[in-house]
Amino acid sequence: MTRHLLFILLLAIAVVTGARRPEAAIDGAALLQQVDRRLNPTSYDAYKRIVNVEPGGRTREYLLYQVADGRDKVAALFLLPASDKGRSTLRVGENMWMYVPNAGRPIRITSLQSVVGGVFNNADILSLDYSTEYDVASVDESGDDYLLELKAKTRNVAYDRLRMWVTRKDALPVRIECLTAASMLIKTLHFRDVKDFGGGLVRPAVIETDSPLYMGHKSSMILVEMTARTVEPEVFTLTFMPNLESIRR
Amino acid sequence: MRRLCAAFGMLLALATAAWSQESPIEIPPVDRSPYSIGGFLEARPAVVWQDAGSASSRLRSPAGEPLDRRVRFDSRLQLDASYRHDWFSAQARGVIDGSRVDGDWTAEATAYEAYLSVKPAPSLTVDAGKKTLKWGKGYIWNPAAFLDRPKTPDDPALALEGVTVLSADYIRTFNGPLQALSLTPVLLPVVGSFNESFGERGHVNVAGRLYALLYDTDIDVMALAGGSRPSRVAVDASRNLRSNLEVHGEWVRVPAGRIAAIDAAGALVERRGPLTSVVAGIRFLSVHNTTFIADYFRNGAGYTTDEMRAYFDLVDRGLESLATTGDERLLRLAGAATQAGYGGATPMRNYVYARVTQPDALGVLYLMLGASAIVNADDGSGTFLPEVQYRATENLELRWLAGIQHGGRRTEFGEKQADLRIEMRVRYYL
Repeated sequence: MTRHLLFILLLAIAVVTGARRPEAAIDGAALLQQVDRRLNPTSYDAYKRIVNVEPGGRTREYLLYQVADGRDKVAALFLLPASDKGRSTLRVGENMWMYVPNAGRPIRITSLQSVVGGVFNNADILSLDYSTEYDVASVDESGDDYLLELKAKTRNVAYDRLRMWVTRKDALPVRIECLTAASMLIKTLHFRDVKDFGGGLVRPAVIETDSPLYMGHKSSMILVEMTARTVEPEVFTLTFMPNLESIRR
Repeated sequence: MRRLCAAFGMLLALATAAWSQESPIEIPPVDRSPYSIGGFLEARPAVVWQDAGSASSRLRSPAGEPLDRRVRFDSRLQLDASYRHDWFSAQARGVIDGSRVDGDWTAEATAYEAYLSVKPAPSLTVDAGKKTLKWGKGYIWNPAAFLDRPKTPDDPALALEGVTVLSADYIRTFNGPLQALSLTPVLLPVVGSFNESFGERGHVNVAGRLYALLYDTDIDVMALAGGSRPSRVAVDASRNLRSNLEVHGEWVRVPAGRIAAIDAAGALVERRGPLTSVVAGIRFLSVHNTTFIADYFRNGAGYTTDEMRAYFDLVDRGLESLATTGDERLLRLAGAATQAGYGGATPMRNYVYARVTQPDALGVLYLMLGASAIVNADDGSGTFLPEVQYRATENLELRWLAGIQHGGRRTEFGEKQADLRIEMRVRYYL
């Protein structure tokens, strides 16, 4: 009798335990793609303001018009300040160029340089979809937000690793730590001020960054406008760089 | 008493919240005017220490007036204006240069660019007017820039005066290893008052460039024909080998080149033959954000060491002839040789350029320290250009630059007019 009771008890436990379906594991790649689409439409144009704050409190501001197409093409035209007006940058995959109206010919630049000084580098300004450049190594679901560990797909990507905190509710990034392969922190991006940009795009309007390599410096990228827009692929070519102003609206 | 404490606590909490809240970032409206005007105003006071014994100085002052230190003041107003409406645009760049040397003021106004553009689609642009074409990949030397004027070695980013052309850009993009292709045909007339300084008059020159982004490499093939200058072809390429390392190069072939050279008899004659020029260089960014640039230039139209010595001999003989007999003929010949190429920016065969720049130097944002060197690999002479640049405000740029010549007698840089030049540039962007 005792054996039967024990068997029934164990069976009941097994049934109850088995009935509890294990929590479905988050598909990291799908979540990362969701983050990308929450941050911007696949193709868009936008106005962005970059503010560099120096340790003494002095600020430098840049206004740029940006247009992106698909997953790997983005171009930007500087509108302010006067010293940078007309300067344009282009990124096609890992290729980057800068055109300075005075100097003339577009020259190749690297993702780690910064055309604006401060903490943002060229890869931050001409950013592509995260899922274009990174694979999801793991997803930690234990905290209030999802924590995505991202690994660069190639050695040409500006940061070897990213740690990205994403809200559970709406898949928006909260904070991203940019790290070297040896886990040295290069910079941290903080996303804030969620705003409705129209067309169903609700995302953080401000990305602030600080870096242990630039102690006391702070840079912010403020999204002024962003609209879904598809432009001809010829816009994203070296030959078109001097004419970027002609597609601005 | 409790209520008082609660009210005080609430006030403290509100004050703390207000204090911790960041001030909202003010976003001014985006300027969407079809008109645009900009440019800069700059002043460049400089002190120049002359080398009175150099060939250049003695040619300019054959009587041997003592030339020592000279203070000069240069200034420039550059205005850029544009108007855009739909697929039509007009652009202009004007420059007014003013100089004060030895108490004398001179001023000159030049239209660097003035052209109309029609862009019925991003894939097609047609330009007519005066503009720069900007071909080539080298940092300071661009033998492939057939249609542009040479850059200023100590400031290669300076705007250049254009040429009057009718040109078009036709662009196509693709998926695959060939990502982009563009064709730029150019018509350059050297007739009437158009392009008077370009070459032999009475010709309508035809040039063209085919650009491809192939396997992440920029490749250009260029050609020029028409008669004002000897026909030529060129190929250039640029590619990022790593995210911090770029390589570039240019190759130019002039099948029937012409060089004015001093022959064994001491006469200035035209030498004909094929000429090949090459530029090869790298740009490297270190982990400390230091940029290193190095370019090698093989100047196919350059003179050999012996030919350059023959030129310096001619200057010596000309001065001696003037001093002993009063005969100016040899000196005039030396002047003609100087104009024909011996006095040019890169008169010899092999040059090396190196540049190091450190932005945000010494922990100061917008402070740039840099140094460049141009070395004539044939005679070992060179020039060294240290510089300090600081962006004091968003639109105010300060630059200190020195030019130090190195080289003995009968070397290119040793025979330059100035031994040392120190310049301060203040530029305000409008």
